[in-house]
Amino acid sequence: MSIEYKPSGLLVVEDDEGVRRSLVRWAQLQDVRVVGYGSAEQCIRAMRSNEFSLTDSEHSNFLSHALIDMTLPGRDGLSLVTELSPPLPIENVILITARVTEPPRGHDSIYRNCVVLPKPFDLSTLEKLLGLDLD
Amino acid sequence: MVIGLLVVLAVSVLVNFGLSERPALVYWSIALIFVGGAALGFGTALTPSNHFQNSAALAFSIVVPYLMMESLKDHSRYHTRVPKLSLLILLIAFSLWEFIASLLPMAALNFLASLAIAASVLSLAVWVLVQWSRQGRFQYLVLFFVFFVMAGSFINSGVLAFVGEGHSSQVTVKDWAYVLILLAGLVATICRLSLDFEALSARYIEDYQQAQKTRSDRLYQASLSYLDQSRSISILSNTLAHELNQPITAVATNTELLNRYLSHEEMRDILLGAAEDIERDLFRANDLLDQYLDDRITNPVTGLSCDIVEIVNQMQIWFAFEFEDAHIRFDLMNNLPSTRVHISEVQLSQVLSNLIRNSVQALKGAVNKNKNISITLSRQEENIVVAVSDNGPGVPLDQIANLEKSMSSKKRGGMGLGLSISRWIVERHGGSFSIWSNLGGGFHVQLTLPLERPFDV
Repeated sequence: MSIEYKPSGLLVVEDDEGVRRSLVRWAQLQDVRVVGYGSAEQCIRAMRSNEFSLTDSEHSNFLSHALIDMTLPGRDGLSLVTELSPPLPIENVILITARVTEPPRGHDSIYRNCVVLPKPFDLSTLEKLLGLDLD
Repeated sequence: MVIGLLVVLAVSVLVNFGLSERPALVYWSIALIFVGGAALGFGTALTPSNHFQNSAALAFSIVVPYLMMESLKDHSRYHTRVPKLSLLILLIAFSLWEFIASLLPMAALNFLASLAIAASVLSLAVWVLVQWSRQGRFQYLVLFFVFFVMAGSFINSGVLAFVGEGHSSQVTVKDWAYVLILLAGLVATICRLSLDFEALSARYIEDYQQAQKTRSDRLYQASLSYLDQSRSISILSNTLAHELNQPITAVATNTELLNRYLSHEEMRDILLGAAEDIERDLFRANDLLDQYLDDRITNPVTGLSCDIVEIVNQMQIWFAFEFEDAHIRFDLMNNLPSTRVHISEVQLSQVLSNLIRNSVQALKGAVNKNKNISITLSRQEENIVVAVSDNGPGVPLDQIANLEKSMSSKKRGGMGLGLSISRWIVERHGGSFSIWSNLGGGFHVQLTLPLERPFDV
């Protein structure tokens, strides 16, 4: 499964600072608009305070895609996907994980419909999933 | 006849005193001896004018009820006081009867002596009947009838002796009584033996079942403990893998960015940031490994020391099932008290598990009849020396160095990695690790571990 169009903005939610910084850096170098948060709570708070938008394509920080870590402190990544989708199309979400384990019960449908990328991954795989290699 | 009686008594004594932990049985035995003595005295007392024999028979008979009473007490214990008291009662009864005998005619004495013995045998019969009602065993019922018949016979013989004094019937009665007593004694002893055998069998079965249960419980605990350890290690490994995945992902991403954009001068600042992050994440990964190996994740409370004796005992429990399964005898030679050494519990367990598992694997493929693994603990100045040996096929001397370097072994189930890790762990804690082996000469490892240091606590 891969995303068929290039993202106009990328939301990165990853609790590990090193991974988050590297992903944000990569997105910037790809010339993709990007915002990063360390937890689901931070992300939701930012969305509610209009720091970014998932619906308004005219917003300066309109984000069409998301890269979310499955294991986060507090609310986990799957719970965050439930919160964001809709409006964020679930097929535009890539879940990243350092654990090769099944997600918690109750999230099976989200898990099945999302792309899951195990860590560590190479950037070309990520780019392919996000449609960034279409050029 | 007298010899026969003595044989019966001797057998009774041997059988019953051999089981002195059963108080009621001991009293029963003494009572039987006294009945035998009374019968012997009664047999000879049928000769007229023999006051002494009559007195002895009566005195013996009086002691019997006393012993029966003792045996009926639930908490009665056999001790030296009881025989002494019995002898005292015997002397009192004898003296009293001597006094009465001087006042009565001989026929009356014979009659009374018969009645006294009959009363004694009856009391035995009552005791046996009580036992039968308590335990419901058929043997007690048989004993009861034997004693009951005996008592009736004594009464009968007493009456005959009284009525027929001075006539030829005396001799007949005497012989009849002897035969009856001998038979009764034999039957009683045989019954008693069968009861004892049954009791011993029951006790043996109970002990065996208890031993089996204990063994089964021990193996169950060992399995649980082993599973628990495996689970902990598994959880720890998963956690470590997850934690390491984070810096590795970051390093991989940043490295790829550096490779891609190295020639892009305009992106120099971003790439410098990536290079700094790589360095930072590599240090982070290193710290994680250090933390894991320092055991701070798993054992933050107990510090870096553990009780070597306790760990070795734990190993014995953990591997009990494997030892048994592979028919391996395990010997632990230790004179040390509880002693703490400078290494964490988890890591020492890991080292010893590796070594023991290697030995078990080596012995499983061996043809030895007496497979053996031993651990010897000793103290050398400020160190504890742990020697782990097996009498398996061993490894050629010239291959030992390669064994660790190659990190694998074809002959001993890939123990190279285990040995390397074990050596690394021990040396990291200031200890030493040495191996000696030869083809056919078993495999021997000696660990030297420093004693607990003040900052370990």
